[in-house]
Amino acid sequence: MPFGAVIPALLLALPAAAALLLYVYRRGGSGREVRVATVLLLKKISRPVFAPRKIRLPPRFFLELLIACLIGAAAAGLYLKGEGGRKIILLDNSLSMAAQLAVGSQSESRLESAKTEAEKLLSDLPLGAEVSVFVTSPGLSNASQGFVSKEEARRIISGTRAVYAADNIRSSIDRLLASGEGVPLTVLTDQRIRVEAGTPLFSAPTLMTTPLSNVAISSLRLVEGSRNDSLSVVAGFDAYVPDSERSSTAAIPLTVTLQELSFSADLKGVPLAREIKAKKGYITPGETLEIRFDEIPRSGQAFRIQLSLGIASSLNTLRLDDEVYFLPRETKGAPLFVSDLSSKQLGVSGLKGGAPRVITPDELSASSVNSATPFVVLHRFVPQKLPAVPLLAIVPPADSAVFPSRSEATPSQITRWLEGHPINRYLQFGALKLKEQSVLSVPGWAQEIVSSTHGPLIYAGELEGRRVVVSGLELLPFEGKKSPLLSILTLNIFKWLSGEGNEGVFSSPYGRVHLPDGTTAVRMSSGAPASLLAPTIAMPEEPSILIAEEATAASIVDAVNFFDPTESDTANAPPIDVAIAARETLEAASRSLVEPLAVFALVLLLMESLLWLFKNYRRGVNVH
Amino acid sequence: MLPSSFTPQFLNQLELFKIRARRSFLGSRQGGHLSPKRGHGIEFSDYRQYELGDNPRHIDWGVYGRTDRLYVKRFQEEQDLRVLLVVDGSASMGQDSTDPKWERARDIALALGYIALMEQDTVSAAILGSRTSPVLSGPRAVHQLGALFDQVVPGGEGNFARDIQRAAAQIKFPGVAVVISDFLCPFEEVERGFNALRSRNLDITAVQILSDEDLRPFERGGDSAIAIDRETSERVDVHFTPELRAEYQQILEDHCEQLRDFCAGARISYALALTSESLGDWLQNILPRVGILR
Repeated sequence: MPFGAVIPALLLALPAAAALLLYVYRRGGSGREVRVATVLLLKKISRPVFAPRKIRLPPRFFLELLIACLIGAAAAGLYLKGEGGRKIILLDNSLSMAAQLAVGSQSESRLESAKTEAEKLLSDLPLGAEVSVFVTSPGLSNASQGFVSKEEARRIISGTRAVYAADNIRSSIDRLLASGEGVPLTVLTDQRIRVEAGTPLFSAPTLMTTPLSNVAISSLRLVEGSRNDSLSVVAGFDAYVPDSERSSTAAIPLTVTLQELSFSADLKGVPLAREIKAKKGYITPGETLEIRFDEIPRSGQAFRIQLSLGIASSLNTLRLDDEVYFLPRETKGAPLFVSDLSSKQLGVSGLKGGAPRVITPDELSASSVNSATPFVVLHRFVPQKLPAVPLLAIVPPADSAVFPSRSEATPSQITRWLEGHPINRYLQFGALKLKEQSVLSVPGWAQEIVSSTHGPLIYAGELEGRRVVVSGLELLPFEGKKSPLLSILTLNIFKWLSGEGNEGVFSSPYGRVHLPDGTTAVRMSSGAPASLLAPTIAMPEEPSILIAEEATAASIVDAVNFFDPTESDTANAPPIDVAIAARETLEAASRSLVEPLAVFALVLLLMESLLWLFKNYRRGVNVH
Repeated sequence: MLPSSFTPQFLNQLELFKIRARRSFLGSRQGGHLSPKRGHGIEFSDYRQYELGDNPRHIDWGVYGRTDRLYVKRFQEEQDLRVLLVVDGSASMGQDSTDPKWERARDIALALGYIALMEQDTVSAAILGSRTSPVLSGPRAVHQLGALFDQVVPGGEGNFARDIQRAAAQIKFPGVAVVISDFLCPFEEVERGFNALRSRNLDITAVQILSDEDLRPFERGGDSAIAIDRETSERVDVHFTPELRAEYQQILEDHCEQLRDFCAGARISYALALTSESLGDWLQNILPRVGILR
């Protein structure tokens, strides 16, 4: 309904007023009237008698009925709803919503609690209300594809699952408030939302915000083993406990199990898991515990590490971050430089970690790059097909369709750089003067990192699942101390491309996975299909080994894991402040009709009084 | 003007009647009614001793022969009778009704007035809640009486007791009072009204007029209606079932019986006049029986 009422109960007075008016008019004038000498004797009749009335409703009745309705509606505080009985529900389906919340004697996930709250909300909505359902993960999306009926919204919400992704709740709320046009928004999330002032446009039930404890695998890195045919893996664990319980929580015992996964010859079905080792430890809330497994055979197909808390399992409310996968590939490869210059000419032979591989553009092929390659540097060269690993393109050719640019030979000065970006760490560009550069055209997936008077010089972003930096500045040869500014910039770029805190070959489930050509199907290690799209697929929604099946040969593609401390930390999420100007949004959402109703009623009342006075004046009746 | 029903034949019939009082009243002049005053008249009353100056013609010589004393005869004087006609002029008399009691009350009052005036009695009329006529005498005064009634339109909320008391206050000489009304008012008012007249030492006759509407309400048009009191405009829902109609009849009968009982106890003559009856027949049959006409 497009209308609402501040005191809806008073609207019940309208039919009562209409009935009373009808009764008065029936009682007061209709029915057969007979003048008698006296009603003295009739009044003495013992039983009350009521003559049936025939209804005679003069126009005045309808006028008075209208006035009564107007007064009743004004008293009830009738208002025009901004969006006519619509509601937006933003459902947080990020990883943290899978944490188990104790409800009475049972436990249910935060997402299930959110669904219960959503059901209550939908039940309270009037008949015919329309609901738009948004989910936060992975990325804000309109699950209902617009406004749908309550029943459809109910179905969509019940089918929503928690996914391995962050909630982006703040940006989601901001976007919905900005575009909602006054439609009331309810946010179902485990984040605590603080609103400046109460408003009917925004609500955030707090059932799911109870801090919960959790222990998660927070990192995983492979280390070279003592022997060539073995490697070591170090898993990091973090325990998240509500601040109020930290002092009273002792070290939490945990057991970490290393398993080897063996696939069948056709790589179909669920792999066999064989426990290799198990280690026990104690983790203190607020501290990271690392557990190392050595002598892991490289011959294994895939491995899994699982966490369990045993008797302390009640402190582990989120189980989805309790396992990780990895493949026994090379732990760290060398970066690959593609340039017509030699390693010496490029000045990179002395880089920390050893001399990188340098090949010419002609030598570049699909086999030049594997998943162990931390990044590729394309020096004044851009291939038609970009390598599927992080890459740095230095001064791309002007005719490159992938990284458009134009050469500028005139001197320029750097005017702007993105402070806070890891690439610009420790750098102040103010004094840097440039003789020549390539001015870049920044694509939508990237951020402008450094700009000059001529335009963008460096941009960075994530393209098809891997980090990419494009520099219109010549960063090579690497001159080290000779050119400290550019040197620091170059090293920052290398470090960023290598993945800060994301070492090795372990991916986060964002973006897409690049598969070898000809791939027709991709499965996860559990056997469930992830996607049938080729050549790239979206990341699966849980940690697993992703297996690609090619037309000619099957190949294991990658291990997919999820590390997000903000989602695993179910205990101490900071509140999110949402600013809604209550008065403005209320005005945008609804328009009070009290004043126009009251004025209209008064005008009609005045008109009726004047008409009555005039009528009596014409009759010559003394109205005193 | 007399009503059209007062035809010459009707008037001739009326001339045969004479107002009768149950006791004698002093009149102001010679008339046709015995008065308590002793003097000259036809009706022998008693003797008294001769006094110097008495008319010798009145000496009863028979008594003288027997007693050797001179006695004169005394006769009861015949004087006129004061007739007061009190007519209820309130709205309950139903001027706007199809069966107005007012017309009947007026006709009765005019008939009695005509009878009285033809007998050389004096008549005055008081229309309750309206006006009062001067004392009228002589046959021709009946037209003045008629004109008085013509000027009156019954209406308003009457207070029987108050109006009667006002009319009674203007009575200077006792006589006969005929109160014509439907008496459909609280009995306490009736009682107070009559007591005011009784205090004036009047020979009172109550004539109650009831119409078909009073006896059988809402017979025409159905059993249901909203009854509106002509005087007070009070509204009462009415839906008569046979049982309730019988109950109403009983209530009316009880009210009239209460009036009759009071009249009997107060030595007030009572007569019931229905508007459905012929006036001439009623005058001829009922009033003589009641005792006000002879």
